[in-house]
Amino acid sequence: MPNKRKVVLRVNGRQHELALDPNVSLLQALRDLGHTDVKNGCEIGECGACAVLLNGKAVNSCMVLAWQADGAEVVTNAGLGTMDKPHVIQEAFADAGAVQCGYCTPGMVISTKALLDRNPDPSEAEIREALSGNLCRCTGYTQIVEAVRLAAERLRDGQLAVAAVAPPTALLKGERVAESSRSPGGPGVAAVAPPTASLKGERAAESSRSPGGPGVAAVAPPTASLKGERAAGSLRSPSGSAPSGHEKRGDRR
Amino acid sequence: MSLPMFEVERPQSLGEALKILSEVKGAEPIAGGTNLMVDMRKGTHRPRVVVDVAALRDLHGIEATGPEVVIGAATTIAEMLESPILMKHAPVLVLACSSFANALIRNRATVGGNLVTAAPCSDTAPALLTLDAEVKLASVRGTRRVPLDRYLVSAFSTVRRSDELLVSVRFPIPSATAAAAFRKMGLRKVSCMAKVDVAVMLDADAAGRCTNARIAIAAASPIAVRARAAEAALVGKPITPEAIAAAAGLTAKAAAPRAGSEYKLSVVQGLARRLLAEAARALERGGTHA
Repeated sequence: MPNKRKVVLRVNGRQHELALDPNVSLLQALRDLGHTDVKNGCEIGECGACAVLLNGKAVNSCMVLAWQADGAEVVTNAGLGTMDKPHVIQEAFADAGAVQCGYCTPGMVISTKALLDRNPDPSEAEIREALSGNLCRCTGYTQIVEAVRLAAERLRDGQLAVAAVAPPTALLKGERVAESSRSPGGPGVAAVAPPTASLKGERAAESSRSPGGPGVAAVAPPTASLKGERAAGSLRSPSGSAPSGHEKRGDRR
Repeated sequence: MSLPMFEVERPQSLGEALKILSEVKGAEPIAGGTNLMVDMRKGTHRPRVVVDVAALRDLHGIEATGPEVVIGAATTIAEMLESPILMKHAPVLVLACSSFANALIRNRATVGGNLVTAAPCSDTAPALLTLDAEVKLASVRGTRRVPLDRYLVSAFSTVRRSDELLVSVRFPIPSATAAAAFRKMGLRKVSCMAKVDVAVMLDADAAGRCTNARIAIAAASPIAVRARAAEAALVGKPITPEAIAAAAGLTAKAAAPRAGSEYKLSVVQGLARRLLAEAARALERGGTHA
């Protein structure tokens, strides 16, 4: 029998030293480590459900042998954000109704992240091209494309950091505060990146996570977000239609 | 679905890799793995030892060195898509890469792997055939350069010996006046295998007379081939619609689709006519690709 190989996998910032058989795929290794957000769809590189970022590039983890990822940086969907602290992209997928059965979603989110890292303002054709390796059998893709557009818009808005914050009255009416759940100051803190952050590039949106960092520019009443909808989790508003980014912006700003 | 068991070798240098391929029985190179992983899971391919060549420095990089462009065999399709050198000197290859599988596969699949697999529907092969590409094969016995059209023998079959590693693909920098075009026909816009690929390249003198022509097809015959008779029919004459129509007819004669896929003959002819016309128009504009 072949000897097990020592493989160091760095997954979502955590290092794992593993002894693996040579024939273990990265997909299998990740799932065995508990990263079950990486889905096993087809195992022939057709569906993209197992997509992860491997050194920043979106790849099918079923096509990679685990030892080929030795020492590499692996990011899974859950490494971008969680239910409590969702990534802007994940939130946009929820808001746009881009999630039905959800099986393709982690891979879709990964491909979206890889796209928006390179291209903050993709056209519809560029979005569809970037998602070309991710199959969805539920949505018909329309809402997914919309989600990517929405995520791109929100990330750009984070960059531009129009430092206008929704007035407290709006919040109290139950309007969502997209950033609130990510805010380090607790659920009541609606953080908006100040103009200076925008000059630093795309970190602005993420900077709102750092406690007391430059992202925290305004504080909403603690009650506000508690009365609002949850930032993530609810798949769609009762109307059922995917929101256009413009309507959303009007609500939030 | 687990993979069959195999041993692993991770050579740190090209020399070490060649030594393993020559000495270890049943050793096969792996780079992106997008073909090998599928074949191993299906059980159609059972290497005893897998030799990871993806990280070998000698197999990377895209360079324009003097008269030719050299592409390391482990260069990914995505890297080729983003290469300013290829965009400048070989837009036809960039077009082929843009139609290749899908965005996730392009980040792993390599040009060397595509040519070593030698599937009938290889997208890079027809584009590289119009560029007069050669492959460099290395082994402990030495290296040799083989023109791509001699390297490709038949479906999934090449002249590469089991101890040889495909190290690089190279082609002479095309004439600045040449124009090229590429089209893939498949069942979907993305993420599909080619039903028919056609790539063409035309060059002409100031009088509009064709000085050079290349036409290559894939997926319509057991392996990607050049339509030499069609090329020869064009050279030395003005590129008229009649000449293009005749060449397109001869291109279809170079195709040999499987029984039941005879429709590909008309597709090849139609695509060839369209692409030659596009390249001819680009030539008139003085552009480099349609």
